Amino acid sequence: MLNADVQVRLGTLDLAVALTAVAGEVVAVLGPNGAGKTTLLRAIAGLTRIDRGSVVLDGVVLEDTAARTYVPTERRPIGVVFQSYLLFPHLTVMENIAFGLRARGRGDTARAVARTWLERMELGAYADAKPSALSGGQAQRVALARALATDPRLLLLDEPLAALDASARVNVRRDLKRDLSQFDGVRILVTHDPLEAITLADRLVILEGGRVLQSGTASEVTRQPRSRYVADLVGVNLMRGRATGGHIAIDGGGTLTAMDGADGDVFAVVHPRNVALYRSQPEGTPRNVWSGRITALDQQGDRVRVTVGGTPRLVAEVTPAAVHELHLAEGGEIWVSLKAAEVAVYPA
Amino acid sequence: MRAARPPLAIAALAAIGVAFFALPLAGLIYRVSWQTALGDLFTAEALLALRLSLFVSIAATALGLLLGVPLAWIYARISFPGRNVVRALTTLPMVLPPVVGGVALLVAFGRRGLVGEWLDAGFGLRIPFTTAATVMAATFVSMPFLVLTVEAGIRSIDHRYEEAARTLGASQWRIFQQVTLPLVAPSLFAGAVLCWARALGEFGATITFAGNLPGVTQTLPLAVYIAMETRPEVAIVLSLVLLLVSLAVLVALRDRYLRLD
Repeated sequence: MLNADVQVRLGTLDLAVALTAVAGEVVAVLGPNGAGKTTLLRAIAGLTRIDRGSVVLDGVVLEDTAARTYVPTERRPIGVVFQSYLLFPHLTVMENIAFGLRARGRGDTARAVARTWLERMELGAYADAKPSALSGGQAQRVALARALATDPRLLLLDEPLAALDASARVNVRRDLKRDLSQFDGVRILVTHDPLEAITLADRLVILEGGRVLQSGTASEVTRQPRSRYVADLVGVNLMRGRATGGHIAIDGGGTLTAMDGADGDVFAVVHPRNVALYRSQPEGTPRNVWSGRITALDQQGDRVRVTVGGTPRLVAEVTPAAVHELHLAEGGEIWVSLKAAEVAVYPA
Repeated sequence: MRAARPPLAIAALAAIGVAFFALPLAGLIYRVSWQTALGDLFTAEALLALRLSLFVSIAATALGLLLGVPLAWIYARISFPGRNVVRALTTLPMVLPPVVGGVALLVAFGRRGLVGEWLDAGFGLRIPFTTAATVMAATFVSMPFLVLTVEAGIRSIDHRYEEAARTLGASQWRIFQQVTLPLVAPSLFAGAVLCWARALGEFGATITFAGNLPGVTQTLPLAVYIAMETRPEVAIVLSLVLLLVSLAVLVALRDRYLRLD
């Protein structure tokens, strides 16, 4: 079990994160570039010293600023898979995997153990090859084998698929999921790719601006987004506001009526496909009707996302046929209609 | 694409520049008396100087590697106050007139010198005018080339390889030996060759600090200088040997390590 409570200031980054992960669990730290993901990983590995806090793995204190404890990286029972894998270019694949075993004083069995790992990774034929001869996917597996060969209690992966091209990614992701499942320690994965996070991890931790905004299973996080970042990932409209008796005063202007009767600071989520557009003011049952100017039209697959810059600003999703029939164009005036039942509300 | 044609004035001046270097070399080759060249090369004094120069230049390179590589690593990896001053100090011989270096060495290690007096009194060690002094003079002028080349090499390697090694449990010493040094091997080779070539050509510091004793401190450049007065044909053959060695070094390094192109 890992208990990390780290505070690091590095340039413009102000990282303050508490992270707990149990053995057998895959935790994905997901966030945009510059959120502090890699710094968090480096802090847990001991490569970046923390300003305040502690890192405790299986009851062993690896770092504690209050007690002035710091176990250097080379003495932590960890394995790290780096973003560009960093296989030693001057050593063979076999020696890359054996490196950690030799460094930890297990040189006598290093080659035998490395051989076992190569067979397990189905890379036996590449034992004497240099890393430059490997494909991206193969290099990734060697990096994983090298990290796991020393029997770490904690495995840290930094964007493990980012170095691969899109065509290789699908297969490598599948293999990685299988390989990760065979390791029984704590696994922490850092990524900016939501698909990678959702397919590989049991639990997501959303990091933005050095803070944890949300954590939970993929469905929990996507059902109730708590940040623009997650809302954009899921493709929904996220608004924040103050609710009183079903009416929500949206921060930045506008009001929405919802069925849920929560009071206080809330998030309101509207799925773009539930937003209806009209040329003229509609008369009917929907409780939320307002108009605005179209600021953007984006084709996404067989749907078109229409951004309407009213109060509140909203994205609607329509078919290309509807764009044609309604003569939708950037700068054009349009009416927006939304049923109260389609506004999901939950406490902020 | 047609190559650009340089203005006449630039082309003319550049041609004079080339001639300035090419003519002395051509003169040297022209003046070699090829019939007797082999005989001149294998005179006793020339052979002595040749053998001594080989020993001294290789010893200076070995000493340079032993002391210079750790120095380069510290310059590249450790930040400490006054680093630039210390680096300048150890690079000084690259621009210092070698004869000044010789005087400085004599003042420090001579019989009356800062350290020399103490060495003499305590251990009966007298360095000046010995082969050891020749090696020291050569190391003094040549090691900076190695240090600078290797430092640049260490700076240019991705230090995340060293971090990866740390996460695998490797100590600093193991990382230095098994990761940093192999990755920096091309610079190590280039630095060692530059260092060796400079040591081979050393004259000023050597004649000042070590003197000119045949077989003991008289290296090739010194032998060339002396022979010019007595047997110019020997001096010319020996010069040609030095010239060819230097040329070989430059060609080998340019193609593989210095990337001048």
